Amino acid sequence: MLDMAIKAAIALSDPLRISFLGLGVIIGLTLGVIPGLGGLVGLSLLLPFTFAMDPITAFAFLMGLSSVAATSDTIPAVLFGVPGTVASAATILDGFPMARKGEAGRAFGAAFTASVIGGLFGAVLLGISIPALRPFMLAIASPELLAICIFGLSLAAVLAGRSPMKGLVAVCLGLIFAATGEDQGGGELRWTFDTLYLYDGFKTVPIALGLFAIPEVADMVIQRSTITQGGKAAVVTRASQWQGVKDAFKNWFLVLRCSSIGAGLGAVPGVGAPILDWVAYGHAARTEKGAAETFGKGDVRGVIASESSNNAKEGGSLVPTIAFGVPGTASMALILGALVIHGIVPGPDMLSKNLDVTYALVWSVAIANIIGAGICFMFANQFAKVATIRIGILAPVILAIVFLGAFQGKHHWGDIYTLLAFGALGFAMKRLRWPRPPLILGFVLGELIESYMFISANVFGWSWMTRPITAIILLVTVYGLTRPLIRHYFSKSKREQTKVALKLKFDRAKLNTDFLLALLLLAAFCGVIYESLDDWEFRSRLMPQVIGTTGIIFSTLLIFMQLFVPSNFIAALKGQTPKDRIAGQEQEPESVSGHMDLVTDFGDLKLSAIRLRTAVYFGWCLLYLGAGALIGLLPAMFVFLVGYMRIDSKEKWSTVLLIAIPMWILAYILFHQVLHVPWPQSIIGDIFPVLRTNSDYNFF
Amino acid sequence: MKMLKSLGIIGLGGLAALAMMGEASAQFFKGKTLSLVVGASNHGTYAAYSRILAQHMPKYIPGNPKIILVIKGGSGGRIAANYMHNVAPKDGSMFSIVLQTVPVNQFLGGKKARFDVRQWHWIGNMSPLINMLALWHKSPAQSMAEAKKMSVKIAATGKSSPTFIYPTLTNTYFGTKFNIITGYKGVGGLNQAMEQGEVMGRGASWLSVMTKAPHYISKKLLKPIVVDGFKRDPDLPNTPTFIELAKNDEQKKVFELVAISSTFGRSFFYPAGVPADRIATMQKAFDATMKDAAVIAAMKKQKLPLNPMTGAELHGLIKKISGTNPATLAAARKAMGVKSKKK
Repeated sequence: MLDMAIKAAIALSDPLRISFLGLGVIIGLTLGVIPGLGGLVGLSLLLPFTFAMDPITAFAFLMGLSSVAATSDTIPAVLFGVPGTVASAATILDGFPMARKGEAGRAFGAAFTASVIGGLFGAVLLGISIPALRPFMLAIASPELLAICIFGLSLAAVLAGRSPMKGLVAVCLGLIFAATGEDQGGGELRWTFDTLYLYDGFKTVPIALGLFAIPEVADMVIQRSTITQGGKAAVVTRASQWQGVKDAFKNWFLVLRCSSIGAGLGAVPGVGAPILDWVAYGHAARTEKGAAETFGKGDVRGVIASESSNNAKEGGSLVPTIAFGVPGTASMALILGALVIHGIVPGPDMLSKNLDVTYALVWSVAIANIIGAGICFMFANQFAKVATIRIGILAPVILAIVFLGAFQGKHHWGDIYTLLAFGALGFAMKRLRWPRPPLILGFVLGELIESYMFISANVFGWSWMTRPITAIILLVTVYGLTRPLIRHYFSKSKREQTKVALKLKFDRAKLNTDFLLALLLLAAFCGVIYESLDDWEFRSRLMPQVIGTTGIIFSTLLIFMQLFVPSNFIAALKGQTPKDRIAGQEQEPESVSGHMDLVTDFGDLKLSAIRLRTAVYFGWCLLYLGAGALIGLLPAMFVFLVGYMRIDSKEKWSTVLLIAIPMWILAYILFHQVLHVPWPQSIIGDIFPVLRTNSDYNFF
Repeated sequence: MKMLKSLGIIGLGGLAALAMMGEASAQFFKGKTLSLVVGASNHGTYAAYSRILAQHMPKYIPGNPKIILVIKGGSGGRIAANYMHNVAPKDGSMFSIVLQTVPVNQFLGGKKARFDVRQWHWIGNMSPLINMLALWHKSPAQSMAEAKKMSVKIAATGKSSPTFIYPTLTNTYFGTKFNIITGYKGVGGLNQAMEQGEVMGRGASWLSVMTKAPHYISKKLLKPIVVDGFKRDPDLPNTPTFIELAKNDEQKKVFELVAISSTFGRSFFYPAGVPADRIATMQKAFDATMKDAAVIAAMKKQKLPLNPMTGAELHGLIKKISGTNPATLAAARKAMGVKSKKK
């Protein structure tokens, strides 16, 4: 085995192969930085070019590309609060506040170090476990996968932080969104509203960009500041990066734990990038000292947790791909395709006859991670300068890219609607302090839980829970969920007991927007139940009805508590004493976590000004949408850039054109000429079909 | 004499017109980039077939245009079908492939269609892909007859997939007691579930066994009990087809309809409205590509079968489906578990 590993290393050290690996890394890094694009896009684009290569060169190139998108996606996440790929959404929570404090360099240093260690960890784990891969995969059947998914979902409790009830409602909402579209098992169309777009449900990319990017840009626009607050320069110095590197090494145990989470969950088909960063983040928030106070406010450990997990997944997701030909992630599905093209059959052969190819994959992941992190370290200071650009210029540029990025979901108008709808929802949730991470967790895990649950119940009956691995995972989950309650109970008995009598009283002031959002969600859950009563098969309606009912219970309870239960009673329930409040410590005791999401403080900005600016911002978004429908999405980008910068930001014509023209040309080359995006139809194109006749400009 | 002369002139004129048309389409294709819209995932066999076509077909198209893939999967191929029918340019710069079930499903009418396959111009088919139903070597039942006596768990992906439809058909028509468990992910997921002992059989194409798990065949781990299609699969000469097993005329007609669906295999089409000369050019280039030695070698390397059909043959199939009598369609819907459309 070792000789095979060495043989593969020697084969890979061929200068041509290393060059292709390096080229793959550079392409992967570039795609990772652009929101909405990632390794997957690059792989599908470059796959045909590998036909003529020998297998090892081809895999060096492809693995180089797919291994590092999760390294560079940190850059927009930290600088703008916009995830570069869905894998870095959790990085925003602490990375972005760090950038605002002028600590972008430190965040980068920590993130890149965590990334490279995570990536190497994943590769090493895969490398040494090759002989045990097939027995391992045979032991992980549907019940075990179900238990793992339930464990992942249980972390929503941590990620809900200070607002458990809102968190639960958000999870239910995520699960409902996951159930949208044609139900594979039962064959029913669940709330597709007769649109083709929703037939196969939502895609993660427009949802993640909507929930996180749109609100972040909105807040920057409302504040009208540069990203770094308080005039702190955003220079990323070597010293500040070095500080981050030291942070990562200081927290080596956290890096290892989160890398194992990434590699482990990466091996579960379907879990992948969109949630393992959240699971790692949730794990860190639950286990790291003082996390409750500092996570979400610029704690470097939050960045480390998220980043070490998302690079480790590459090694993990190779496991089922190699062992069974079951792709762990969407990118792996393409790698699988590449294997077949080169006449290599995944399965037992990969562990015997083609072991050298397997090891070449492992080495490629490891080397790509090192090169990728090295390049990011070198160029991070260049990227960081972007953060000092005026928001009036930066916001439209980011928005323009986010729109085009979201369109990569399904290449359908629905992607843009989804982006904006989730943008509005995300904005409302952020302003009203509803945690967004549980929603994403519910969304990604919903479909998996539903199908694994039916398989487990149909095949094993109730005994699915008593299989050893399943039982252990479920017990850990239960322990994790009940631990805060147990600790809270014991700490309460030690603390000064304050009893506040429950006096229900209607509070008219609470009839606010927070109440309105809860009411809207309650109505949505009622709608879900109503729809599911429509002669659906049992299999299709079970989950919506269970989740819908749970959602109704939680949102009703939430509304009731908001309107009728005085806040001092809730505080006492959480274990706060009047002393805490008198002393001005409106903090929760240790047992109750803090708010695990970003909060923007608008300072002394007047409410009317905030409202006006919000309306103007979303107005511009709608204008982009409208212009897109009229003249096509790509031409609308130019109009939007010019219009926003000239009218809203009042920039000089020279500045406007100097930015808008190169930006548009870049987008044209990337999306139209390289990616050949099939653009949606526009009104002008319908009227003048001649506009669609030439492939150089058929974007109308 | 006069008549002969005029016939000669007409004939020459016709030839000249044809030559000019060829010239015109060569002019059109020269230096162009044609988009091949793939209405399926970017990693399945639809994409694999398309990639080979995109690589080799340009040399047979006058003007040698480039062909690039545009992946537009989703909703069982309906998103791409809808896009091609309503949005795509109709000048011949964009052609497409969608799931083989799309044409027949339009007539079964379970789901809404915003396109009409009868108006499409079929370029050609690289190969029909025949589905089958097979039992794992550890299954207590090893034949159709034994499966009538006991319940056997069969893995399937989703309700609209052949992995569900085929065991449902045998349950309805032959009285087997297959307990179909849906929710597995792809062929790899089905294989893993069998190896883990969760299920005792699976459907999908025999090709998926040959490419993803050839040791199932060499070690006799998986036993096919019935295949789809009008004729027996040359790789499985001892396995009967559904049509052979049909007990009456209604069953036979339903099975024929199902067989048409898989006969569409990996077929490429132009949307309605593309100029006739460009369609003819592409059909001719397609047929020539199928005989190319490099194509045959590439298919062999990837273990993909190549049994080409012409555009005209595909048009014949479409005629056959649209002429199906409503009673047969209704019977097929019922036997396959397709819910009729709601008002």
